[in-house]
Amino acid sequence: MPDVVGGASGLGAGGGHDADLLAGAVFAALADPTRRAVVRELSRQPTTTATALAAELPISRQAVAKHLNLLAGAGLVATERAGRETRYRLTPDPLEQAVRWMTEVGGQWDRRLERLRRHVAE
Amino acid sequence: MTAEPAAAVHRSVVLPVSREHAWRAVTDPDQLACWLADDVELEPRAGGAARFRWDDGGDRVGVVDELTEQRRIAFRWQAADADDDTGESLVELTLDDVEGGTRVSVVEVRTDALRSGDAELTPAGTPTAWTQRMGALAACSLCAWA
Repeated sequence: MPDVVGGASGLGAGGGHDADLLAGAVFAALADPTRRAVVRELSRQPTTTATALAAELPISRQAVAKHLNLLAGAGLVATERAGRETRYRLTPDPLEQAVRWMTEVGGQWDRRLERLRRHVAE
Repeated sequence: MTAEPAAAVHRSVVLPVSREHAWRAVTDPDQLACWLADDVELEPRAGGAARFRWDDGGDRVGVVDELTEQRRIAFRWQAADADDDTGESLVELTLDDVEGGTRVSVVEVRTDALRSGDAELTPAGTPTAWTQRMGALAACSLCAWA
């Protein structure tokens, strides 16, 4: 079990304590299904705004902004000012690949299990 | 950073059917072809070969790692196309009796995340530490991803 826990929560021997803290923050940030949905939407375009994200998700712009702040705090999201707009993008980071894999594979299983549910109901 | 964090996906669904019925749905190739992929070959025994094809061109080859009748099936799979670099992952489907039917839980994790140091994975079909590892991982996943 220690090898699994180390792999799941740490970034390896070279990462050090700060990296462990960062990984912990990332996993905490992604523990919330709404934030995972925000990350999934962010992964579909280079940059976007809180308003555009709120249009795609069943939550308010204020709620989106709150989640974006938390994701930014975990280093998963960066902000850029473009005129009066704040634009958000996923941060290129070693974690991004893991996040993309999880959002893609998670989406696949969501669809497959929905098909399974309909299949057994027939 | 010398290693990536583990990437694990955990999902579940409650089916309004018996465990026997649900077991067939997750192990019979004809039934798997109704929901998991569009064309499925799978020998439901430890060490059995598996292949999953999708109408969109997706094609994955795999091997059954572990099978406990009416309880759990675990297989490793990867893209049949050697140029695809998404890597190998382990899929574990577990059945539990719940009120109103059977819960099917799935955990998918990249096997590189399960490797410990340079230790080689044991061959499919031999008793392995997969179950313990997956159990520990599922517990982690439940905390992190529930």
